[in-house]
Amino acid sequence: MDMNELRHERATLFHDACDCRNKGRVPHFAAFVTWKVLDAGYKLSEVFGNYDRMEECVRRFLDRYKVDTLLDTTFLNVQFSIFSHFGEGYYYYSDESEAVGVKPFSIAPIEELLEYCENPTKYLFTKALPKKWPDIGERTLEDWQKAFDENQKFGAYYGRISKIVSEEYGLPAVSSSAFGYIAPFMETMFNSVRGIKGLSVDVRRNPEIIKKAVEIMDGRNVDPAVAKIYAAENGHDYDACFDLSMVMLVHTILSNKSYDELYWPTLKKIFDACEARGKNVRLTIEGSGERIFDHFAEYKPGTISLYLEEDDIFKTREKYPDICLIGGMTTTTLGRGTKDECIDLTKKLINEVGRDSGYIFGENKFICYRSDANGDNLKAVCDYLNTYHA
Amino acid sequence: MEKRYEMTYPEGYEKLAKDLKMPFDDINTKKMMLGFLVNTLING
Repeated sequence: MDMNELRHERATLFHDACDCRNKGRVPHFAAFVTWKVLDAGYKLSEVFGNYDRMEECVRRFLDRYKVDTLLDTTFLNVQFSIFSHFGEGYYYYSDESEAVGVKPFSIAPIEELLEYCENPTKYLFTKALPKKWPDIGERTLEDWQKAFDENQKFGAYYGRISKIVSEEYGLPAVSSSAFGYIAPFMETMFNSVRGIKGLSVDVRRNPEIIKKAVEIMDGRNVDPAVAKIYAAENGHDYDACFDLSMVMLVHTILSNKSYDELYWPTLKKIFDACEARGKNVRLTIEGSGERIFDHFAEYKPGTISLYLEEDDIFKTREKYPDICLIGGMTTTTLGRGTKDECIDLTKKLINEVGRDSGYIFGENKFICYRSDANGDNLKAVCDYLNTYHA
Repeated sequence: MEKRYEMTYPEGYEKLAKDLKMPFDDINTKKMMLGFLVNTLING
């Protein structure tokens, strides 16, 4: 089949599932990350920063496993090669444990949060970088140039692999590029600006500062994106599986009151715009999000799709029959079960979660460790999904 | 003596953006690209 046709067919499967009207094959959203390296027979150190090997790992994965989209082609997006030139980063990996880790960090203390918000570029250059590397002033033009060139090489790899995945394998992009990646500032604070520990304390001790920071940053970054959604034509982008994608982590540390006051107003703006223009949003719910799903169920079917990690997908389907759900294949079954057990779970997911429509098959975690998946099991599941038709 | 940069804004930042060899000459584009690099360095 022509790759353009295949890509369009796959994107249609995703959009129809989001709209709860898919009747044919259930698409496979593959969340395979560093597992691809191990499955290709390499050590992490043999692949990180080696763009030809990164491409080889992606190709080997897609040659063997016929999935409908691939979440990760950049292996966590960590540019280890830059840090080998410039200074120690927060991320680290080990060939022995076959794992990537990150040290807890926070870019700005609470007393400097509003200064950060006033001019993030200025803050990062004048305060955050010297805090991370006190000897940063010793870096020469040559050091900066090497870091810049590595950053460019990574960008070139991303462009190249995206083209390969699209044109040679017929996979749609995970998300449309039309609106960029929308990151509410609560998530950015959780991930980096304040860190998990810092933000957990802030929302209780300094909610007014957090609220002000959200107003400034979401006003600057989210509001223009929302305006862009309203200005767009109705309907989906058929070069991608979803019109927007967002990852939710910060709800795991928020009380219902904090969630309603500090986070929901931003989310609501985004979802209202999507509902108005017939766009779908894939929400990756890290941890459990059960207590906040009622908000999402108020939107027209097709607006929000939930990619579940810890929440029970069968119970969620019972409670929310009109929301598209993604996930369900556990790493326990995929990694340690038999082929039959994997196929049985796949059938159960299709029949019970996707009973009428509104289901996208996926793994319930980003697949990183060797034990998260057995290649033969994955191959059997992919073959089943590709031949199954409702 | 190799060139080093003061971590000041906008002076040090603009000087560094200007000195870095990039596939563009426009200073605003160069400043934006340096911003991407700084973000990568901070978050990685």
